[in-house]
Amino acid sequence: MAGTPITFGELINLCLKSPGFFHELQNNPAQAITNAGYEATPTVIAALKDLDYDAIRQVFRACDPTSAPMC
Amino acid sequence: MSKCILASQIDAVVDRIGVDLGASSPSLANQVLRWIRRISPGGEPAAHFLDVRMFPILELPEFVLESLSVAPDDRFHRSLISSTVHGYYYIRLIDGIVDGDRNFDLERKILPVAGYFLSEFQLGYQQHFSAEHEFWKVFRRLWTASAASTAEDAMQRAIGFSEFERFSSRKFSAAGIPVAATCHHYGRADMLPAWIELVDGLGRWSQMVDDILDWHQDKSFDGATYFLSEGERQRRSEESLEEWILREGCDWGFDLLNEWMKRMQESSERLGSPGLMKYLARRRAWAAEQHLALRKGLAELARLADILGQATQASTSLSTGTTIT
Repeated sequence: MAGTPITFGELINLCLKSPGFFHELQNNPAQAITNAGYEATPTVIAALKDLDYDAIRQVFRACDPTSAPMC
Repeated sequence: MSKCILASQIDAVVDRIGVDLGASSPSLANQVLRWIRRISPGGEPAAHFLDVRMFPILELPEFVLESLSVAPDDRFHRSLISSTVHGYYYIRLIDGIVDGDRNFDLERKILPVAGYFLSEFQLGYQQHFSAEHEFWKVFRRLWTASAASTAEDAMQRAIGFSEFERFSSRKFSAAGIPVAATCHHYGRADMLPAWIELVDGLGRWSQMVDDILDWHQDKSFDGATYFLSEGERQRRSEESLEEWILREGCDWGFDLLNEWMKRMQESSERLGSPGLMKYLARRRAWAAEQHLALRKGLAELARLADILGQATQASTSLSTGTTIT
């Protein structure tokens, strides 16, 4: 995964289809990105810890078709 | 009618579906009830119909009644609720099959039950309108428009505003049937055009909400929607659809929704239903919350993409012996 930079679209797909990666990223960022083949530098880890995961979770909630009725 | 009473009436209808089908086939009844729970967020059919994202198919006749200032005929309204719940399940079952959604296997197995749902939907009106009644002309027009629009919408490969107006947003036409029944039942057919205009406006608005919030699912199923088609048209050549949504697509969609809702609120004043005005205000506030949440969340996801980009660079530098300072 870490050979080429992940695109925004690929990231959205990854988070929506593999929520495990997203949870791990929040709970154990160093482990998550090492497992994904990235280098867990202190700068990267600090930036990951600074993310607003609740805001990201809101996107998944709003866009989750199973949590809302089809009109 | 309070939400609590409405919820108990919905539950009673679902119970009756189990009893009706169970009399012929208990195992089929179980499968149908399982399907009903699976399509209901949280597994609660009543909560499904009363969910903020649900088209207000059960509330609309209540709004009409409120505007007429007449004593309610409870038996008629119980029939409407039963008919509408069955009609919704009929449409939803067909939609599930057409869209090939996640419940496809179960929906295919229980498809013959569509006939039962349809007959119960129609029987609800036959108890109150004779075969010659003017209501049936409206019923036929709206029901046919709804079916034709749903089929046309599913066949489109790209949807411009014209197709969105003619097909996508007309899928909700059937929601005008209980509204028409209420106007006719209380002798106020003259009110119908204004209420149908509202149903059409709500249909347009609700379809756009679905287009925006379900964009990821629609894209993964290769479905065509106005929002996705517009994204393809508006995005820059070097930009992905997701980047367009982040840059301006999200704002474009929600601004359109807000404009349509504002117009709907203005034109609905004349209908004289405080319940409807409250409902529209609630939906407008809800959409504003969703807009804010999506904008903020997408911006955070873009930050995450940048961070992972940095991590990629760091990995590449390490493997080539370069140091990032």
